[in-house]
Order: sequence, then structure tokens, then C-alpha cells
Amino acid sequence: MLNVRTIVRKLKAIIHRIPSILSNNRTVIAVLAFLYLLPLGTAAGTSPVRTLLFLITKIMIFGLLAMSFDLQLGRASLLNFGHVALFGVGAYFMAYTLDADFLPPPFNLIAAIPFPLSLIVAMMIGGGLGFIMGLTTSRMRGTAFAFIALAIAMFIYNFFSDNSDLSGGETGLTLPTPALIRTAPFYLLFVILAFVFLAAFIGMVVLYIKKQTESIGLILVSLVMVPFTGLLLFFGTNVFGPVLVFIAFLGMILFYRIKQSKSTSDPLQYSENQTLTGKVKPANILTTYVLPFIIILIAIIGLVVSFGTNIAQMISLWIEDKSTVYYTIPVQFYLVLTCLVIVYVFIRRLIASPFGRMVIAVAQNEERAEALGYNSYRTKIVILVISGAIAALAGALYAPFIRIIDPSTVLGVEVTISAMLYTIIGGIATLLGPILGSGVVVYSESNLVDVIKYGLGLPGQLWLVGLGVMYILIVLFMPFGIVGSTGRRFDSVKGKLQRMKLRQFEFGLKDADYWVFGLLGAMGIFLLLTEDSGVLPIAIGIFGLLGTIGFLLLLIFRREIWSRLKSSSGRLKSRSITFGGRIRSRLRGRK
Amino acid sequence: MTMQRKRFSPRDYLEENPQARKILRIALVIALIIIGVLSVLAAINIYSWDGFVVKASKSLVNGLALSMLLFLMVSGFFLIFGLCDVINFAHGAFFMLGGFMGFTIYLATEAIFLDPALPFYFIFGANQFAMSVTAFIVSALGATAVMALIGGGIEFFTIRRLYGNPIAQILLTVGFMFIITQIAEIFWGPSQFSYFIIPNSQINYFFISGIFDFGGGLQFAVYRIFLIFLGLAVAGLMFIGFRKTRIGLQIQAGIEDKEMVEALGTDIRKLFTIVFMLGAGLAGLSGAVLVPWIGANSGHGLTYLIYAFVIVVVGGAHYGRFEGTFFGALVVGLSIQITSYFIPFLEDIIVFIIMAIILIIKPGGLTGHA
Repeated sequence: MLNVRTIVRKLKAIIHRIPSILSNNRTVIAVLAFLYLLPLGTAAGTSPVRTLLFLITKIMIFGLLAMSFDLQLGRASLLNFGHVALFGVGAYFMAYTLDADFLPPPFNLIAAIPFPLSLIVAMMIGGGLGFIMGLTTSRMRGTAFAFIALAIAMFIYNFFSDNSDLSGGETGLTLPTPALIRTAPFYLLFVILAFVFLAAFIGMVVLYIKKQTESIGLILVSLVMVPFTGLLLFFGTNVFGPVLVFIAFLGMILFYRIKQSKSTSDPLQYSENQTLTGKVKPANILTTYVLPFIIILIAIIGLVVSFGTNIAQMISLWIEDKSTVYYTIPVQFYLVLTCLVIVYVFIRRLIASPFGRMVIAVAQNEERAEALGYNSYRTKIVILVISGAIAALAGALYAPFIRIIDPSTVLGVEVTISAMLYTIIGGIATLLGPILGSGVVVYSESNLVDVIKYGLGLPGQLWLVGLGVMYILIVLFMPFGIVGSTGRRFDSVKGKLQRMKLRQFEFGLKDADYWVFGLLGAMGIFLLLTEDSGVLPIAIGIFGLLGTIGFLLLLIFRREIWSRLKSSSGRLKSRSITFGGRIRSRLRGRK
Repeated sequence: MTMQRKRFSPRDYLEENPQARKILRIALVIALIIIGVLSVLAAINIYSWDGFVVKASKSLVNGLALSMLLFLMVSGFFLIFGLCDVINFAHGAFFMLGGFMGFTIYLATEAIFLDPALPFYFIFGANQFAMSVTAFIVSALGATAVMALIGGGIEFFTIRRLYGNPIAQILLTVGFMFIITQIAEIFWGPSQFSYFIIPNSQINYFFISGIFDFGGGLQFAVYRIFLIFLGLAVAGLMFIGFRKTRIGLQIQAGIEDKEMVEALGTDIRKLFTIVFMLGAGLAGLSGAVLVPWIGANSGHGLTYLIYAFVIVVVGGAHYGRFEGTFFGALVVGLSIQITSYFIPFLEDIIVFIIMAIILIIKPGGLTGHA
């Protein structure tokens, strides 16, 4: 029976879970809040951010494709040469739902499917195709699977390229933008979502500063909040918003001071907050609830004030002229970003679930998994269906985004090869790897010509050679992909950083602290990529300032750091992963 | 305990009853023969007897020539795949570059022979046939040597570091595929241009450009028949080489069991380099002999790479059977040419249809075990 009390209890349980969700996903929330903030900075006219938004949208779409590919290759060890069929089917289905003229009369009824629903139907079709691939192929191992999938993909490609009245032939189909993307309420929905994420970000920072009562917490938070305010100052439309956000930051410092004065460093010391029931009672309502909410409120008001003009301009743009391209780019960015977030969370939960463990068990040793009672056939089919649905979603998002699709760009074998490359470059069996890999490749594809032409003075035709050289360098120096290899190398540095002590306080970076560098890195990359000459000096200024401070700190504390590093590396001996440690042990063995 | 009801499954039933299996197999063969005869009869009905003979013989000759060519290329791919466990995505690009190398070396040799300042001019004089034959042999050998050097260099400097990491090898070879394709496009233009020897040659003469004419439309280009014999000769040489020479035996043994060969005192790393050179050289040779027929084209890389994959899988060569590449190449080459004469709209996908059927019936390919 559902009654009011159970509903209230469930809601309460959800609300009580929010702080733990916030503090368990710090990096993700920080970077996502930043990404959701970006389109708010686009003004109504031409804006330099818009080109970058277009590029990031493309990267995210191919990131989705690569994630679905990695679900097969990295998790289930299924090398699928026909992956492009899933993508292309999604793209063409989306094309047919957007315009009734593409299909002959009895079939053009699918054009009646409204836009966001057609995304879901496309996912179902992709899942169905994945199911067919799975039915015919999953009983076979390795190569046979890859090649029957390739055969299916080639069938579909040839079907579409032979029937040029269906597929548009070489010129392709030119698609209209879905009507929903051009409406303001749809945009406002995403703006609200963006503010939810930003509130989550500010709340996460407040929670962080509440827990991290050492001075390093304050240093790290100010490292983030100062550039954040600077960014608002540059991309916002007025001064008052950033000032409000800065006031919120000052409030955080106040909050931190209050918390620090109350915190007890010794856990064994008796505290008035503790009772025998084991529950920790809040010290008082003011510092636990009121102050954080005031801080979040001030920050959100600041954000609304600084971007209010832009949002109003976008809405007026919709009222004036419905067919403008400027309008659709931020909306599509939001749409793709939201899809990417949902898929990311889904894949993360899937891999951590018992089913995900089963998939890995089947991939590692099929006979053993079957002997333990798992149905490997069904597991593979389910993975193929899920991955097919995600790939079709990527295709369905790609079609209205790129607006012209033809068989060779959405169904050619090259797409499979590039999805494979994105996955491998980013690192297989990692969550962020495929997205990063597609970012690296798509960005280089569009900018390598300029680099080679103006940077190196070589003819611009050589860009594909440059891409090949880049792949070879990546594979020689990072054989497990960007995320995989840096993760392995990073572990040794991380161990050293966690053991570092400066003067009185531990300069220990904990696992929870890396969100700062994630967010700073995202900001830095964004500022460097913005093709506006006005942004670059500011970026260089902010990061130069931070770098100088860091350098001065290093200079002042160099002896301490060096001695800590030395003593900590002595303790690191047992860790076999460290690169330096391996060489040292080899030298020691020679003696 | 709950009783588990046994479901009826045709696969289990066939496994339990060998008699039924035998009957089913015979019925399948008979059905296939009947279908084949019926389709032949239908083709005769459509094209009339003479037209059918012309088409069938032409497609047979072309198909055999194409399959020999594919066999030459794929045997290189198979050697690299079988011994080094490297899926060489750059093999199609090697093949394509071999074609351009053959084309360039042929023209350069001809120019040298025609230069009055050099002694060759007096040796050949006006003997265009000898000049063309020599230039062709030089071009084939030169393309082989150049591609062998490139392949060996790639193995020695890069792939050698990445054995045991198949994912990284894929990325690496795809990188080389991009580089080689783009370099070829810079020098020789995009895939819209095909280069043939005849219009580009200075003396406008190629030694086997003639046609066998048996009358009644039965005309075969001599070069394609020559290709069949060339392919058979190289295949025979390779079979003999694998059976008789020391290094061939080592390669064969290495494909079976690498650790054992290493333990018996063979330098397996050197063997890997040699095999890479051999494989790339075979790709170069097949590319060079393709030029007088289909031409050198910078778009060949990806097309022939996919054919190579298909042939290896269809023939079952991925289970380490060298004969597999031969049968796979025969199936693919013949089916492409026969359908291009009889059922033109299936030309692009017949290979994949046949591959799907074969893999569903025998997941291990024609010669592999299931």
C-alpha cells in the first residue's frame, strides 16, 4: 500500500543519500557542472564558444559510439567489425522520422513519431539488430563472430548504397532540425538541469570543505573557486554575478573557519556531539543546514545574474526566428551531454553489478564461467543488445547534428575502424577512455591541417600522415591507451604525493582530492581550445599565476619535499608497480 | 529436486545419431548439386548456350586469375598472422604501395633502357619484347624487395616492442595504413585515378597485351592466363619451400608452437622479422603483377584488406592451415568474377554472403576444425 507516510519516508531516504552521492562522485560532478555551464556563456550573436561547442558535441557523439564499442571489446572481449551497422541504422531511422518524404507512403508513417520518442525507438531498433547479430554469431568464438558481424554490416551498407532513392546516394539526405530542438521550453529544461548540476557542484564543495578540516582543503578549494569566478567574469554578461559567487566563496571560508574551530583532531577524545547510540547529532542547525544553503543560494543567484541576459536573448531568438542555426548548437550540446551522462552512469552501474561481473567472467574464460553455472550465450547477447542500443542512440543523435548523412559516412567500414581507434587510444575497459580517445582523435582530425600547415610549414595534405604518426607514438609510449597507461604510471606518483608532509601539516592528497585537478584541467583545456584571442591572455594569466604560486611553494619547501620524497620512496619499496622502483631493484640485484 | 525436462534440440539429436547426420549430409550435397544444376540451366535459358559458354569461360579465367593474385597477397597476410599473431591492418596498404612501386619501377627501368647514353641501349636495341620482359621482371622483383625492406623495417623498429599486446598492434598497423595511404595519395592522387602501364609507357608496348581468340566471342586476355600460371608457380615454390628448406620448416613449426621452436634453439625474433619481410614482399609482388590488369590505385588498400580478412576466415587459415588461404582465395576470386558476369547486382556482397554461409555451417572455415 502506498500512503503518504511511505512516500515521505522514501523521499527522506533519498534526501539523506544526496550528501553521500555528492561526496562519492566529486570529479564527475565538478567536470559535469563545468560542461553544463559552457553553453550558458554563448550570447545570441556569433560567439567564439559556439565552434568549440560544436566540436565538443561531435566528440561526445563519437564518445558514445566508442563507449558502446568498448562495452563489447573491453568488457566482453567481443571484437565486432560490424559495429557501424548499429550506428548507421540509428542514424537512418532518425532521418526517416524527421522527414516524411524520404520513404514511400506506407512506410513514411514512422515520421509521425515525435522527436524525443524517436530516440528511444532508434535505441530499440539498434538493440534488435544487436540481438540478431548475437543470435547468429554468439555461439562462435573470436574471428568468426567478428566476420559475420562484418558481413551483416556490409549487407546493410550495400543495401543502402544500391537504393539511392532511399539513402540519398552519394549526395546524401539533407535533414531538417527536429522541431522540438528549436523550441525555448526544451532549452529551458536543460538550463534548469544545468542549474541543478551547478547547485550540486557548489554543495559538493561545501560538503568537501566541511570534511576536509586541514588547511590543504582550503587551499584546494580556493585553487578552484578563484579561476571559476574568473571564468564567470569573462563569459558572464555583468560584474554582479561573479561578485555574488565570490561572496559565496568568502562564505565558504567562514564556514571552514567555524568547522575548524569545532573539529577534534583526536577521534578518541570525547566529544559532546557523540552519544551512546552511535548517532552523531548535528552541533547546531545554523552551521549544518542554514549556512550551506545560504552559500548555495547566493552562488546560484550569482550564476543566474551573470547568465540571465544570455538566456533571455536565446529565448527571444526563438520568438523572432525559428530556423536559426545559432540557436540549435547549444541545445544539441545539452541534449547529447545529457544522453552521455545517462549512458555513463548506466554503464558504470552495469559494470559494478553482478551481471557486469558475469560478463567479465565469461570474457576471461568461457568454459569456466559455464562450469560455474552462468549462461555465456545469454550474457553475450544481452551485452550486444545493450551496446547496440547505445550505438544506435549515437547514430540517432548524429543524424540531426550533422544534418547530411550518406551511406559511406554513417555505414562505411571506416566508422568501425575509427570507433576501434577511439577505444584503443583512450584505453580499453576504462570508463572515460573511449570519450577521451574520441576527443583526441576528433580534435586532431579537425585541427591537424592547421598545425601542419602553419606550425610546421609542411603541406597540409600531410594531415593523415600526421595522424598515423600520432597513433604510432601513442602506441609506442602508451601501449595501454591514454587512460590505461597514465593510470598505471600515475599510481607511483600518487603514492608519493599521499605520503608528502610539509612543515607541520600533512600535505597528503587523498583520493578524494583529485576532483580539483580534474576541474582545473577541464577549464584549462577549454580556455586553450577557445579560438578567441581575448581568452588566451586571461587563461595564461590565471594558470600562470597558479603556476607561479606552485613554483614559489616548491621553492620555499623544496628541502622538506625532497626529504619527504626520499623517505617515502623508501617505504614504497614493496610496491612493484613503480617505474623507478623496478630499476632500483634491478640495480640492487646487480650488487 | 525438481525434474528438468529435456528440451528437444536438433543439434543434440544430430550429435546422438550419426546415421541421421550422414543422411542429412548426403541430402544437403544432393540439394546443393540440384540447385547448382538448376541455376546453370536457368543461366543457359537466359543467355542461350553460346552466350553462356562465353560468360562461363570468361568468368572462370578471370576468377582463377583473381584468386591466384589474392592468394599471393593473402599468403603474406597469413604468414604474419600465423607466426607473429599480428593482425596486419597495413597489409592492404602494402599491396597498394607494391602496385605503385611496380608501376614506377617499370617506367624507370624502361627509361633507363631507352637512354642512349647507357649500355642497355645497345644490348636491347630495338627489341621491345626483351626490353618489356626485363622491365617487368625488374619491376616485380623491385617491388618485392622494396616492400620487404619496408615491412622488415616496420617490424624491427616498432612492432617488435609490442608482441603480446594485440590491441596495441591493431592501433599501430592502422597508423601505418593511414600513413602509407596518404603518402600514396600525395604522390599519385586520390582513388579516382588508376595507373596502367600501356598509356604511360614510352614505347607504348607491353609484352603480353595480346588476346587469345578462339572465335565466337571466346576471347581471353593473355595476361590473365599468364597470371594463373604465375600464381600457381609461386604457390608451388612456396609449398616446396615450406616442406624442404630449413627456414620454411622453422616457420611452419613456429606457427604450430612458438615456445617449442624457441626452446629448440631457433632465434624466434629473427624469424619474426624474416616472416614480416616475406609477407610484405608477397604483398608487394602481388601488387606489382596486378598493375597490367586492374591498375595501381590508391583506394585499393581498404578493399583488398577486407578481402584478405574474408579469405583467411573462409579458408580457415586462422587455425594455422596454409592450404586454407589457397582454398579461401579460390572461393573468393571465383565467386566475385562469376557473380560479376551472371548476377551483377550481387557483385559487391557475394563474398560476404558466401562467408556467412560457410561460417554458419563450419565455424572454423573450410579447412579448420570446428
